[in-house]
Amino acid sequence: MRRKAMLASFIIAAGLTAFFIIRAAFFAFVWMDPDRGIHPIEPWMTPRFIARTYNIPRPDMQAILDLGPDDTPRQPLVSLAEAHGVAVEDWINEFNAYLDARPPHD
Amino acid sequence: MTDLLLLWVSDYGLVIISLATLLSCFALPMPSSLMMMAGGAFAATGDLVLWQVCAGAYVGAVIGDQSGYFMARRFGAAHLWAWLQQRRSSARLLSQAEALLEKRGGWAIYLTRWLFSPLGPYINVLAGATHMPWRRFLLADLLGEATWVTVYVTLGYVFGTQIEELSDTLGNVIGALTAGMVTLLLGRALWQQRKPHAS
Repeated sequence: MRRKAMLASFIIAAGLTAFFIIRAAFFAFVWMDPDRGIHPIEPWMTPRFIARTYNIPRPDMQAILDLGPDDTPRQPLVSLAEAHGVAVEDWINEFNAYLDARPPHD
Repeated sequence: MTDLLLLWVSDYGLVIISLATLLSCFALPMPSSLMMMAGGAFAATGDLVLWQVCAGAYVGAVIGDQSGYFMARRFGAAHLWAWLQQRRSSARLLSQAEALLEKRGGWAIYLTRWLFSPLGPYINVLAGATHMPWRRFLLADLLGEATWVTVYVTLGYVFGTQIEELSDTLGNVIGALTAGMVTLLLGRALWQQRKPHAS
């Protein structure tokens, strides 16, 4: 009886191993795909994170977010948008428009 | 869900990272690796301070592990363990587990902090229930959690833009390694059981 339970556990564990290997390979392929494009800008990102990640000069980022020259709040975009009374999607669209307008190898 | 967790990290910073690593030590489904990577990514941009992210994650993880160990040691798990050992069906398996922990306990604790991390909470309870010497547990735990925190915060710091993709891939790699190791151990136990029947 115990051997049967162990055998069943062994089969389940082997199945889980195969399952995780397939998933890891899938996510790795998706991640490495050169046509995947860049990760979209999301509401959880902070202004500094956006500037660094998307290589946006700080003054340009501050202009889009209507911030002062020394102003780089450590807040996610969604909280900042709420504080400014702006829809976060509007800011994300402005960033996307900025990135689209930029030369490809900028 | 991932976005919400990342939002918590950017909103609450160190507190949420510490809480995530602490709760993950109790086998609660907390994506603490992703949150540590997010902490590393925010440290790279200057939104958080690197050493504080590391310290916050480390303290949470070590407190969580020690709590699991002492709760098992003080409150009942030892009695449960003794009772299970008296039962014929489970006695041999538990004795083998205890012998393995006795022989390679330090490595088991160290490796289940980061490489086979899904097993960590259960190994904490096992170590407490079998009264593994606390100093030995603590040393292996401190080293293992230091490795875990360093690896994930560094990955977040370096791959800041791709933490979600990295987390998806790495989470499954860790899952495959853990399930693979359990498969090997069970396979070995089955093989050893087979021998008496064969002779």
